[in-house]
Amino acid sequence: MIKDNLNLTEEERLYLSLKGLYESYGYSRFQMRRFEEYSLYSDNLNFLRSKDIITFSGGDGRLLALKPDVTLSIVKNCKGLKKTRKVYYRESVYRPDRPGGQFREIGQIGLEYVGDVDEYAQLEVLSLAAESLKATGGGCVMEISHMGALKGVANECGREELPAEVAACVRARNLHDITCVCSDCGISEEVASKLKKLIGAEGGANDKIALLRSLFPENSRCISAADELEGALRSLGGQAKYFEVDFSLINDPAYYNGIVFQGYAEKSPRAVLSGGRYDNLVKKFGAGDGGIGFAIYPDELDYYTRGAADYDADVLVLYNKDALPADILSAVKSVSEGGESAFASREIPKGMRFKRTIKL
Amino acid sequence: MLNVALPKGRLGEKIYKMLEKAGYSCEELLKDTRKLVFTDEKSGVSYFWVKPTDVTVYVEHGVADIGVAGRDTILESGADVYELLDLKTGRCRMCVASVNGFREDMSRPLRVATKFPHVAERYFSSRNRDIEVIKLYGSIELAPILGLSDVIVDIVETGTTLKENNMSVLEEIFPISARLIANKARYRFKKDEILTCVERLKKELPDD
Repeated sequence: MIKDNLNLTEEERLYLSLKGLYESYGYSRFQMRRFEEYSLYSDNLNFLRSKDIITFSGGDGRLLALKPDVTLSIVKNCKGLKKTRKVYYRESVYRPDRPGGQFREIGQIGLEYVGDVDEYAQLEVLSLAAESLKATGGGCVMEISHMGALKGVANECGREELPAEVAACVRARNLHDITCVCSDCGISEEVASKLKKLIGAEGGANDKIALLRSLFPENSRCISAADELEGALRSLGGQAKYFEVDFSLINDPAYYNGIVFQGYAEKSPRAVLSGGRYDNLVKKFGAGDGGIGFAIYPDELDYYTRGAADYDADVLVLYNKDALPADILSAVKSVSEGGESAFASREIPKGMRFKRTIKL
Repeated sequence: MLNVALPKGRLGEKIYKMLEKAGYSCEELLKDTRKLVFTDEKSGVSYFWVKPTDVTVYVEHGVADIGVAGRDTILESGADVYELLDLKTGRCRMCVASVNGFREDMSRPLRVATKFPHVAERYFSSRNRDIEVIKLYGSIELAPILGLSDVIVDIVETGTTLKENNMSVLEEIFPISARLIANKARYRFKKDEILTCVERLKKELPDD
């Protein structure tokens, strides 16, 4: 239990509780530099949430970048390792909060499982993601999907991926434009109508998974996505209640290939956690056969939940010019040892508020 | 309680009438008052009027659970929101237009005056056409007439303004109508309320 009088921020509290959780599952802390060679990002732009990167020249003329992402650095670090890595991190990334927006330093806490990712490993990460989301406090929901489902739909019309315009409709749950957009992209009316049903489906996880199977019974990708989702949710047991299947959730198919998920907390208007299976990225780096991980964004929580403190300090220790420094220090110490914060001053500081005042 | 951001102006009032018929009335809303937030406990709804281009901002930040915005605003802002319903009202088109007789000089970037720089950049980049965007806030039609730009990218409703200024549409980029949008996180936690609203509004939509 973390002592309340430490006056920790929401992010610090969350990190301390997650650190213990991750370490108890055998994950070790991964620390990295704030910058990487720019080429790491320019070669993998689609993996990044934003393509805007802060760059600068290194002493030897190499182009460096303040890291906009953590996963790439970890996967790069695992290159050539013939063993599985289980790591967690607490790092800052530097990117605009939205396309074309101002650059921000954004805190991230997350974990990555890279190397030999079997069914158990995937389950462990999903379970830890659910625990992490729960640790943010309040109501929470985790959307879960499988990249194979929409890849299967794309295969139905002879494509490897859904066209970007169709993917945009899927992401926005835009059911009114999807038929027209599919038609513009040369996707048959039949496939468009099935896709519309799949994205617009409401109901429980089992209903949506059953719908995927019934819409595409001959499509091996859709069927194996349905099997994998169903198996994972079954194995999660009681934790499955946090998960809601939603096929409108898509990540970049060049990197993500399996289960993907995104967590929402009631107190934040944006996703506070996102993650998924990224075997394609791991293979690209020669870092093993698979990878799965997630990141949690405490800034999203802190920004919306942190209220201004009512007081600047608990106690104002107001002393006059004749007071002895040793007596003032002793008064401050005694307040602090009693679990309160003290602010010593010779006069009442302008614009500051205190619960009570001790005069010396 | 559903928090709804409505765009100020004629379109917003039209949308409110649809919401009122759908059971989300709030008597005070259309009164001449300086109030900004209108709550009706009985209907379970809280409305606020905002500048049309700000609706996506209020919804994306979750201050409003749902809102009504034109497709032009949604695409220009790139807001990460759900787009749940085409309200089939406020219909117009996003177009490229210029003065009659305009001939494009392919040897240099096209100068495009617009209120919608992202829409313009995306559209011309999809055609590999290099452009120079001139961002304006109003009277866009004036730009090609006075030689500030070659073309404009703007909303065309009836085409009367273009016609009166000896201009015409060169290309249509996409059709526009008002859309019901929802915050992605609020959708998760107020799904029943939001989906009920969508279903009720569907019954109030104008015919195609």
